[in-house]
Parts: sequence; C-alpha cells; structure tokens
Amino acid sequence: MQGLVNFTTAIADGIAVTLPTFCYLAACGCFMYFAWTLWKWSEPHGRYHHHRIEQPWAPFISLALSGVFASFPTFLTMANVSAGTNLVVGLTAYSATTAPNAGGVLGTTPDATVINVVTLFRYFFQAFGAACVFWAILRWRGIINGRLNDSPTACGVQVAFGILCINIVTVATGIESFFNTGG
Amino acid sequence: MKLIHTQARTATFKRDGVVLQPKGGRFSVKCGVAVLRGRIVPAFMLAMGAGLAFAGHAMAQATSPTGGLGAQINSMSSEGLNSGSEMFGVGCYLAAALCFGFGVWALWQSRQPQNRESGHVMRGVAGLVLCGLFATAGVWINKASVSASGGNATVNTTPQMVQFGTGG
Repeated sequence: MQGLVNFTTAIADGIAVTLPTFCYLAACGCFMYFAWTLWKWSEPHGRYHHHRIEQPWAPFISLALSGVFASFPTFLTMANVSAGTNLVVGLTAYSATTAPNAGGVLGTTPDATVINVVTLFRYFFQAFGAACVFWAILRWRGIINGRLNDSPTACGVQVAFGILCINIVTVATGIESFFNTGG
Repeated sequence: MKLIHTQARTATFKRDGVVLQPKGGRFSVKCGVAVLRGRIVPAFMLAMGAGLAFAGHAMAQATSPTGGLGAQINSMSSEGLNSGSEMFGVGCYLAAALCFGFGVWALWQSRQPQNRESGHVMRGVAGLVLCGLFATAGVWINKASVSASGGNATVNTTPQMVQFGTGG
C-alpha cells in the first residue's frame, strides 16, 4: 500500500509540474491566435470569406482565455471559493512531495477507512482535478472555435468535477457524513 | 442512384450474414478464447494484487525520492518552457515585423487611385496597432490575466509546480 501511495504521489508531482508549463504554452498560443486572427481579418479583399468571420467574438475569447491560462492558479482559487472550501492554489519551485504514511489506513469503521484512503491519495486527486479543469477549458475553446464537434455542457460538467476532485477530502467527508446522519 | 444504393446495402448484409453464420470451427475457437479469457482475467488480477501487496512491504517508504518522476518531468518542463518561449518570442517578433511592413504597405496602397475605397486604410491602421500588440505581448497577456481572474500572470519560463493549500 505504501508503495502505491508513493507511486501515485510521484505521478501527482509530475502532473503538478506539467500543468504550469502547458498553461504557459496555452497562454502564448491563445494570444498569438487572437492577434493573428485580427490581422487576417483586416485583409480588404474577400473579407466575408475569412475564417470564422461570422463569429467576431472568437479571437477575444482566446484573449480572455490567454489571461486565464497565464494566471491559472488564481483562477482555480476563485473556483474553490465558489465551491465553498476557499482552498488556495499557488505555484512554487519544484520539490518532491512527501507521500503520506499509509500505516493507519484501516480505520475503526469502513467509512473512516474510505476517508483515510481518499486522504492518502489526495495529492493525485488534486493534481488530476486541476488538469481536468485545464483540459475542459481547452476543449471548450476548440468547440466554440468550430474545431471540435463536442458538447459545451460536457465541458462545464468536466470543470465542475475537476473542482470537486481538487476538494476531494471535503467532498468525501461530506458524503460520508451524509450517509451517517442522513444529511 | 437508387440501384447503386440497393446493391451496397445488399453487399453489407451479405457480409454480416457470413459473419453471423455459426460455423463449427470458428465457433469453437471463439468459445475457447472466451473461456480462456474468463480464467486469465481473474488470475491476472490476483497476481497483480499479490504483487502490489508484496511490493508494499518492499517499497515501504513515506518519502518521494529526489530523482523521481516529478524531478524528471520538471526537467522536461524546463526544456518545454525554454523552447516554447523561444518560439513564442520568434513568432511575436516576426508577426510584429510583418504587421508593420504590410500595414505600411497597405497605407501606401490606399493612396493608389484604384484602391481608394477598398479598406486599405483600416488594414494599415490594424497593422500598426497589431505591430505594437505583438511587440508587447507579455504586457497584454498580463492585462488579460487581471481582467480574467483579478490577479497578475503567474506562470512564466521558470518551471514551477502547482501547490494546493489546506482546506481541500
């Protein structure tokens, strides 16, 4: 069990390190898309044949998303305020996360054991949730730009469950107490 | 067109029919594979579970090694950030130069008699404005960050990791 916890914590470290890099690249890409699309649209000849000229908001949404990606931890912090946990997300220099000790994973009751397991793997859940939110935003951008044929609602669901994954301990404790006391 | 369509459907149906015919040899081979698969999967799961259980004793350490997965991906992120930022810088530089050059050219062309009313003036203005936008891209991304999330842009070319506070 300890080996599994160590392994998933190492994967969580990998995701947590990868995410700011992808955010940086996505922010750069969104800005380039915004400004270059405006330049292409200024072409006088055949203006009505330009790509996505019927969606004049598309480049400006990319500009806003560029800002979201450039300050992604702040965006996640705002989402956590909306979720009610006020969990603060920040950036730090890389240092290996110390994996929790899996010694006392078996609690006195089954539901306590579930909470213990969730707490043991919380680093992975949190990093995975943040990556889910990032991916959902990228996917939504692809949909509204007409590049992907997908459901924007599904992206919203993915964001919601990504935020739930970030706050997994609170969610698991809430569900456990709901089953114990009936809400 | 209708005749072709009917032929296509017939051909498809025939292919399906061949597959669905319960031929003896093929049927027994499929049954054998299914039975084997039915036994292999639980045995594989049992072996994996046992492996994890024993490995738990062998790898019982509550610390992440310093040269682990995260450290390796941190190095890769550093490389990605370096190359990505270089590409972005080059792209912005070239785009600024192109916008300036073609913007001025559009303004020049707008004075030609045959181009008086075809949007060249606005293309020239757009080129000059976008030249400045590309040349100061980071400033505008930061402005977009403040508008989008109320905070300055935090990701930069230094590889970092997302850190989650308490309360989650």
